[in-house]
Amino acid sequence: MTCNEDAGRTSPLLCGVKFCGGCNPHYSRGEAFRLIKSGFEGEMTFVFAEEGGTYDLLLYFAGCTSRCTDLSLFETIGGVVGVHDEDGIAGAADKLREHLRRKAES
Amino acid sequence: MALMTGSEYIESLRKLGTKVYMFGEKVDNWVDHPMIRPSINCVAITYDLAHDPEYSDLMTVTSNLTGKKVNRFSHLHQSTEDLKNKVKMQRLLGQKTASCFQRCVGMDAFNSLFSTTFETDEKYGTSYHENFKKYLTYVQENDLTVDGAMTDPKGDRGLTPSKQKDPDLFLRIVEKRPDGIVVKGAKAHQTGSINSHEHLVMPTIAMTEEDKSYAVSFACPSDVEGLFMIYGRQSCDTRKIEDEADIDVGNKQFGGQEALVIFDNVFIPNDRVFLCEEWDFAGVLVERFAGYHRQSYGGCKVGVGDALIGAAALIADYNGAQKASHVKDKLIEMTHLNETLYCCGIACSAEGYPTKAGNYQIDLLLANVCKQNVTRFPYEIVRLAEDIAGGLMVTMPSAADFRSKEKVPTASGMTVGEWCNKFFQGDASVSTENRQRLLRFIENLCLGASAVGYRTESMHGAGSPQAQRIMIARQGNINGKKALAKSLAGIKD
Repeated sequence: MTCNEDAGRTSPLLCGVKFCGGCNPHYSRGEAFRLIKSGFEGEMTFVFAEEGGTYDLLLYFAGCTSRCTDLSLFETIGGVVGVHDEDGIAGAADKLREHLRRKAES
Repeated sequence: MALMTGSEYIESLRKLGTKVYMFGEKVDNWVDHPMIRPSINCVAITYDLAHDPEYSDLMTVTSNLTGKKVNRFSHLHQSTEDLKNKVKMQRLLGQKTASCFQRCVGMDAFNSLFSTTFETDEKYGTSYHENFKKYLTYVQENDLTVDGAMTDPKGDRGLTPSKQKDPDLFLRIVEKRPDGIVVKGAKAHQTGSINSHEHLVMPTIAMTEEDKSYAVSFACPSDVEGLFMIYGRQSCDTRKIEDEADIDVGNKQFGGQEALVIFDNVFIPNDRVFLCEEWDFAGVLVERFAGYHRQSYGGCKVGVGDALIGAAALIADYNGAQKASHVKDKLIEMTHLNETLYCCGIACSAEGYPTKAGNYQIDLLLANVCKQNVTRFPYEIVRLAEDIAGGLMVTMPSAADFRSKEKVPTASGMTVGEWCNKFFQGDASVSTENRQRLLRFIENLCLGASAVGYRTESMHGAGSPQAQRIMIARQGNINGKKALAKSLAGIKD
């Protein structure tokens, strides 16, 4: 899976992407990410989140409702946007869009 | 060294001089042997997924020894979260391979030896714990696969090691030198031994003082002088070496592996020795390793079960039977059984506790209950899968028949392949090739090469059913339960 092709572009918002470990995911987390990312081409920079990293937003894909990843290892300015099932994909995209709008206004 | 990729792991095996025998002959290029390679692919995926952001959260962890990222398979569990994540990682890998991915025995050996060497040193003033920490740091820094080797051939089960007619039937120390020890014997049923860079040997049972030369634990490279392996056969294994081997293999990419590992007077330097005649710690080590490994099965077998349940549901679709209420109910039952195993794996992890050495141990009672269920439930899941699949999974002609252009001299003038494709059609929207593939996949898991891992290993791996019952009896607190009953019944004596 690729993520960093947007890195380096001038972009108003840096979004860290974090996946849970994927022990028994109930939907394709990778597909969900690709779908969301495709809606923000050139508007947002997506990078795989690294421990200790700071991001405008953290986009977190959990495979189930357990959402067991320890997210305290990541710093975010705008908080975490989480997805844990297919139904949550559109809502997460809406939240990213809202962050983008607010950032543009500020 | 950074974490290896799967390709780097496979290349690292080529650099070893591991001596492998199969069908009575030495196999020089065992890495590319079609009967062995699927099992190597299984280990390789444990390396590849460590680099995949979708899975690295489970596959990697920060080492308490070095502070660096390591593969979870070489990690010392630092919390109940770590214990649960181990089980989750195993489920993930079972789902990805539908096979035994072999690296768990090393992880379970690391954790049991870390705590046992600490306590042995505490009693005897030995330096095994430092030896072991140094060794495990080497394993982590080089991202090695290690065979945790426990099971001896055992000979006459009614006799102790030292009473056997042939003294080599349990691995033993045959010579003690100032710079190390010489060992002789064998380890049987060794999962992934050929695919391992190193062997980490432990005793197989609790020992008495008269068996102290059998109370030995050590590590050595897999290609050390005097060590060799004889490959274990699996049901239907030679399908992998047939021409155009693909559909009939059932799972072409992945598979398990077991071998007999023979130590013919192997020298072990002192810094690789972790137990040497301290006979009263042999049982402690066995109990801890068995406990961790019984926990493991609450993850790996569940992942394989997921794949089998999926295959059963899919073949019901292909057969046009998916709407039948009894089929739906059987799929529910399979899921219920599988998730019960997972519950056990997670429960014994959640109830874990720190050892004196600091790493975490699972709850022994719950881990033994987990494995006791594993000796039964996969058999029922297999039975239900066979029920749903139908007899075709074992009576269907070969893939070569389906491909055959040979004309049959009858009135229709059709080829063998055309006849097969005509009569092995299920749902007409599904190709007969896909139906073949799925039925062979189910066959492979239920009674083919992968049944070694999913069935018989579920029965005997990490100890046969009676071994768990002994532990359940020991850990079950029957006296406490009697006291409860007395109190509730108003008995005062």
